[in-house]
Amino acid sequence: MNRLVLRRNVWHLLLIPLCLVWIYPFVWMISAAFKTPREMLIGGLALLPDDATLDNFRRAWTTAKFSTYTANTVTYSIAVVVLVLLVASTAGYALARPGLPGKKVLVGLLVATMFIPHGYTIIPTFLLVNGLGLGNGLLGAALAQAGPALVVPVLLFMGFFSGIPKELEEAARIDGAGYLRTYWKVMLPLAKPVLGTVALMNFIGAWNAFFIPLVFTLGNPDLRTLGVGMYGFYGQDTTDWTGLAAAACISVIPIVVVFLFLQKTFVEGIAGAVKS
Amino acid sequence: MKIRPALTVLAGTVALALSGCNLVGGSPDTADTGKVTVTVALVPDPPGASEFYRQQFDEFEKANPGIAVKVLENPTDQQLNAVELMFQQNNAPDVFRAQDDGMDRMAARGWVAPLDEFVTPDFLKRFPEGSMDPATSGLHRDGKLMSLPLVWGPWSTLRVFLYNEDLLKQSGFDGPPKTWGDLERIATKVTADGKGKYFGYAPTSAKAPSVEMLAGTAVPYSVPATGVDFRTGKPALSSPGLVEAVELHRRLQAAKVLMPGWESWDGSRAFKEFAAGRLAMYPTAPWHVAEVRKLAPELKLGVAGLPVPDAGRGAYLPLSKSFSPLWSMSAKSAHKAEGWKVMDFLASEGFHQAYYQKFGTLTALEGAWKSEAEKNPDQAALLKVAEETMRRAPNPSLASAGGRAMTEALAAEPDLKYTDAAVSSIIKNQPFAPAAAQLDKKLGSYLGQAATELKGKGQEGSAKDLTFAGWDPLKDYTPGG
Repeated sequence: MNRLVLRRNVWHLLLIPLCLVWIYPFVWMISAAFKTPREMLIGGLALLPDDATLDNFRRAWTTAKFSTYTANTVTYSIAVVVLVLLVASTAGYALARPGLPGKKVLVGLLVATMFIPHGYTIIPTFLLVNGLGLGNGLLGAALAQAGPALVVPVLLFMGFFSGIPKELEEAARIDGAGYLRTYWKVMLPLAKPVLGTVALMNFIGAWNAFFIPLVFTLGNPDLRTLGVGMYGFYGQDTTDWTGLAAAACISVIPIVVVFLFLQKTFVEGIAGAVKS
Repeated sequence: MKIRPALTVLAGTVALALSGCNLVGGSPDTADTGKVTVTVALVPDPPGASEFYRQQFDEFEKANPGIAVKVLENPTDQQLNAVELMFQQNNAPDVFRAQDDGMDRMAARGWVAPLDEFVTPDFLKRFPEGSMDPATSGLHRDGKLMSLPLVWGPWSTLRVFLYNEDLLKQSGFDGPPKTWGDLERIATKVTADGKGKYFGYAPTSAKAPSVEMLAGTAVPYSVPATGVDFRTGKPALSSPGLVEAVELHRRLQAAKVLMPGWESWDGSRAFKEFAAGRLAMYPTAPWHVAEVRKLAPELKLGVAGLPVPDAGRGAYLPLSKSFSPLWSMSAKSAHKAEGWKVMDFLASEGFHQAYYQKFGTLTALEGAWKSEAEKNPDQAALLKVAEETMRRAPNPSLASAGGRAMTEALAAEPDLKYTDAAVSSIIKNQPFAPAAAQLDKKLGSYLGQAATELKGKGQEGSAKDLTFAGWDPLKDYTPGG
């Protein structure tokens, strides 16, 4: 027992400094957000500001329009999550049916699309979204973000639904439920862990997304998301580093809070999906 | 996680988000306020500019009740792409910021409206005498005024030498180096005295732009800038002045005099090191002066002209155009008259005075700041250095269509610039002359090839368009003179 405790303590001694190194950039970012530009640029590596200020947050929130960007990012991320959940769960349910013709080809095609880099598809995607008349809102960008993000969720749902006993569906049919009602009332509630995992994964992905929001909001700065808005702190010759640090805090803190609240669901979802 | 409450929250948030209308987008500016909205696309540069522009446009709106100014901010790196996209989506801004080549990029697509119909003699009188001459303004294309400036003409090509008076004094030097030999001697002594706490000199950033800056006092500016000597129209990277500028840095690097780590510096690292008292001297663009002051107001900063070769000055820094283009009007604007009012405001003495007071930048309208700048030691030093070290120089881009085509062709081949070979020579401690000779050969054949390609397309352009035989880089150049 003592040897076990000793071994554990040795591991802790080794890992704690590693964790500190890992977490230092994040702590530094928070510290920089409260420093003056002078202290941050030439004041060394001290984490506690000598003369703490909230001016960086004020500048980021109002002047750099991070209030608007935060609202846009919430809208964008929720839209992506809703689209992914809707399409991935229905597609996964359909693909989980044993008798579906061409199932292997469909799954193969889905997996193949994972290997196409975004850069190659962005122009046709942009033209398509514009052609649909969705270029003036975040829905177009959300569709472009959700499309390529669907593959893993579809496979997760497919794997999960395949593992549910067929008898459950048959019982629902006997009780008079149709295909959609069975999906909505019986199967989907069972998939709560997968729903949670997919929602969280895609929420984080959409919240942190840069490339697609950048391309889709270039011509419409009022639609910018937080990731793209950070770019605004880079001037032609100089960068507002303390404003950027405050903006990074505004961007990161909500997603960390969401993760902390939902981490149990996330882990359960991954474990559940893998098991089934 | 309970799914029902979660779904309820989700649905509520979706509804809330949808109500913001950003999800599906709405028709912009549908509210009928009886005002004409002028859209201005700009960049939030320098830091703090967003707030400044909004305050200024609020003042403008008070004075012009029929006009509302809508500001569209784009990140500096993305401004041109964003404006292009706005044009392609038929959503172009009325007024936009497109600097230097950016304006040409927009004009080439027919998106820039000439401003001549709006410009009056009184308007032109705001600018220094002779500076709005179509041949040299830098704002005209084919004789038409295509843009308005923001900053002082010499600002973009002026280079100064910054030094820390205290650090130099500690090593027994009363003033900055006058020659390259002085520079080598002083830098070596200061670095030795610094014992690793501070250093005598650094090449400004990773691409060692200090080589180009110092070389600009030895050879015509066109040699480090394009590889071509505009007096002959021939490649001249092997010019002794440029080779010696690289060799000077090579010797300093080999002797461990240069501040370590400069090889990875970005464009703003030097002023941070200087402000922190870790760097004693470096050559730079004038905007570094204000940045150093912001970070270290107490530092004893000296601003001087660049040291010249030991054999004496071979060239002055170039004033190859009066201004750099910045504000342009959209050719597709439905509100050109109102757009011009905004541009007129952006080129007004009041706006330039406010800009100078906020950012310390010397602007295009000298009358707005000159008397105040002369009282400010840093800015007075900049003005003095500009007067002493800058002369008018030929500019092929403004001189002829062929010159513009050849300049663009040279800019399209960055591999033919001396920069990478020079940095490699400094870091690897290898002589630069053989690499320069090789580059000259490649550049020579490329110039011929570019001229042939232009001829094939029925366009003008040859080495002749890069030749200004009568130009003396030690004197002011007069176009056609």
